[in-house]
Amino acid sequence: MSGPSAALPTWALGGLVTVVPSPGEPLTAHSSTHRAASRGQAFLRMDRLCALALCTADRLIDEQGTPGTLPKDTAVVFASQLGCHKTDEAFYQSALSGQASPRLFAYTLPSSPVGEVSIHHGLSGPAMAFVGTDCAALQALAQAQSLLAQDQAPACLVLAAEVADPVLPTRPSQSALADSAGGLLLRRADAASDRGAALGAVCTAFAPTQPAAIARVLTQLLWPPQAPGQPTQVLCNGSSVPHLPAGLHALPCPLGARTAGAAQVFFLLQQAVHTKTPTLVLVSDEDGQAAGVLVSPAAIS
Amino acid sequence: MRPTLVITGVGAVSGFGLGVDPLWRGLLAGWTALHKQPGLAAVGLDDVAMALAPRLSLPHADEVHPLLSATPRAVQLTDVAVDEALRAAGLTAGVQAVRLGICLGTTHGEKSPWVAALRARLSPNDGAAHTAPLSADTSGPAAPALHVARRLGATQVQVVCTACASGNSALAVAHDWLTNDLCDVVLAGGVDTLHDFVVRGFRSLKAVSSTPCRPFDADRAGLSPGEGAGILVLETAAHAHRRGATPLAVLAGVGQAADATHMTGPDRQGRGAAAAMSRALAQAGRSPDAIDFVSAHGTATVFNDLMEKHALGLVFGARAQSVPVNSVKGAVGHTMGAAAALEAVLGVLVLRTGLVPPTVGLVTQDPAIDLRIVRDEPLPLRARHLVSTASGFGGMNAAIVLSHPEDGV
Repeated sequence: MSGPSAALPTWALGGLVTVVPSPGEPLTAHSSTHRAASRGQAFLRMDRLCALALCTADRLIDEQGTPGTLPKDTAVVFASQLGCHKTDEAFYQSALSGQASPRLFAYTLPSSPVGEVSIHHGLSGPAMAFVGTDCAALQALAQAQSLLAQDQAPACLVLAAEVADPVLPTRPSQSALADSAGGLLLRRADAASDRGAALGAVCTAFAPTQPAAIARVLTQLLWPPQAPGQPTQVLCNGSSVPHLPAGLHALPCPLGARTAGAAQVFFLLQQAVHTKTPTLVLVSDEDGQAAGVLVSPAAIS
Repeated sequence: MRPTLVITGVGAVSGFGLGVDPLWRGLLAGWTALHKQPGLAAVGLDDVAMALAPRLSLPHADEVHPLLSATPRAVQLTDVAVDEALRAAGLTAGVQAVRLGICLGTTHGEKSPWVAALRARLSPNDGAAHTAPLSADTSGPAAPALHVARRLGATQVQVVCTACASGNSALAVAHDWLTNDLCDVVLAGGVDTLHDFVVRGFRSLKAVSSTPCRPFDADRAGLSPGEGAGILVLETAAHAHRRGATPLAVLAGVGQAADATHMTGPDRQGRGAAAAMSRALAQAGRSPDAIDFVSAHGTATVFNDLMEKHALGLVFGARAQSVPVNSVKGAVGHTMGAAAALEAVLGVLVLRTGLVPPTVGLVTQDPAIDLRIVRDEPLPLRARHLVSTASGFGGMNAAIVLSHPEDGV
């Protein structure tokens, strides 16, 4: 068996932001280039999931400096474990009361944030959403890498957002959630002069158990164990990581369970960039999904 | 060099029944599975024609209409379609030995238990069905995919949503997994079931026709909801050859694009749909002139059908008026996340049989839509390459190019 880590391509991290609003805090347009700034109520009518994603996209785009520098065919890939549950609840309540709200129904898809971001920033590249798992953001990142590799887009906004407090949680961890979002701008390493870190190829896995899924990801990303560029720390969304090689220790997300869900990976990536240390960012969930990505300090400014 | 990706098995559940055969028989015969549901009178939805898949079990739904049931029906439909696709691919016994990926497109995944539980909570006297505690196994967008993945021992699972284009986006993910050698075999497709949540929603948008929908018709008045599942078995041509499987079709290209114009209405000029088709053609390495047939999204809403006319004009130029086009929505309804997957299954059958099913519901073609819509009876056509296109809320568009195995392998 050969491990791909030494030969993996790298991707330039052109920007990385996280957003954690206070509970109920109104979200407003951030970017001066944002169409909502001139449309007044346009920003307010969207649901909170979309607002979180759009705020994140605004900040990422602002970080690029000159407004409008993103190519029009930039891809937008979104991720969310819980999706639009809050809007679903509100819509269904309106329907049962006999006044089904068309405005709310328009946001009862977990892909709605992709639509809003593409509309408000005029981006017509490939657009997708990955849902239903804590690993969805790394799945989205993997898709972004693939879109860039196939020249289907020159750049990709990768975004994730979670809205707190589902009325009907399907797993215990969902009860501890806070509103949160994160995102990054990805470009091909050979075409970018971006600040920030370089990312390796994302590795994803599914297995009957969470530890088995983690083991598959570790085997792919940490083999052979002494290969150049190997991480010296592991940042994860859980309290521990089984099967870690000797010398590597897992550190949980600095914001803990408050940022559970798909958005949490951006807080882990932010921590990895901040420490300027070769890092494996690893995410897993109790459904047997796991995903990881190597963050290289080589390009960290 | 990019490997050739082939489809070696297909499975389907639709308003015509369980399996590909009833679907194909119904489509070729020009039947419709759209019917009004008197059993929904209590919730005021008995005036909507919809296409329901057969009921697979009645564990606690003896007196409850499927749209109000808590039974995890999306999981059930997915199981049926997956098993049929695996049988067709000759993989029933060998699936545990391959690196198997599952990628499903969906708008809601398994939502019936959640809807029933919320209804019981919000309106306990409103015909609430029996509800069981919710879990990730039985409720949520990933439930059908996770269920199949556990049952078959998959090594990759993803759930993708691009609204009603989700089925084609799932094929895009499958394309990547196989191209990057992450899997030996991928089960890709889409699933969605109907519940009162989604029917009430479409009606609130005034997007639902009061009669079975009529794609491309001058009197079209909106969509008709449907439910179903479509699953395709994908692998590299080399892998299929090694295990002696027969390629049914080639997945030659996929393309996706955003309209970036409106959350619920398509770009009036069809630019997003055209971009998705153009990207799929570019990946397939095919000129628009090579395309023999287009499976349109064809929802029968006023704006969608007109948008597709413009989109096809952008891609095919003057030839848009002569390339055969059809829509299956008048037969099986708009199955949302399953729609593009079922249309991909249809595409495989068109390539295999040399027949294009007619567009059910089309009586008087809208003069503003100057396309060659297949109507009234099946069109004999030795298609070598075809495009299937889909679009959804949020301005999502995804298209695929399928080729006959003799031209693609």
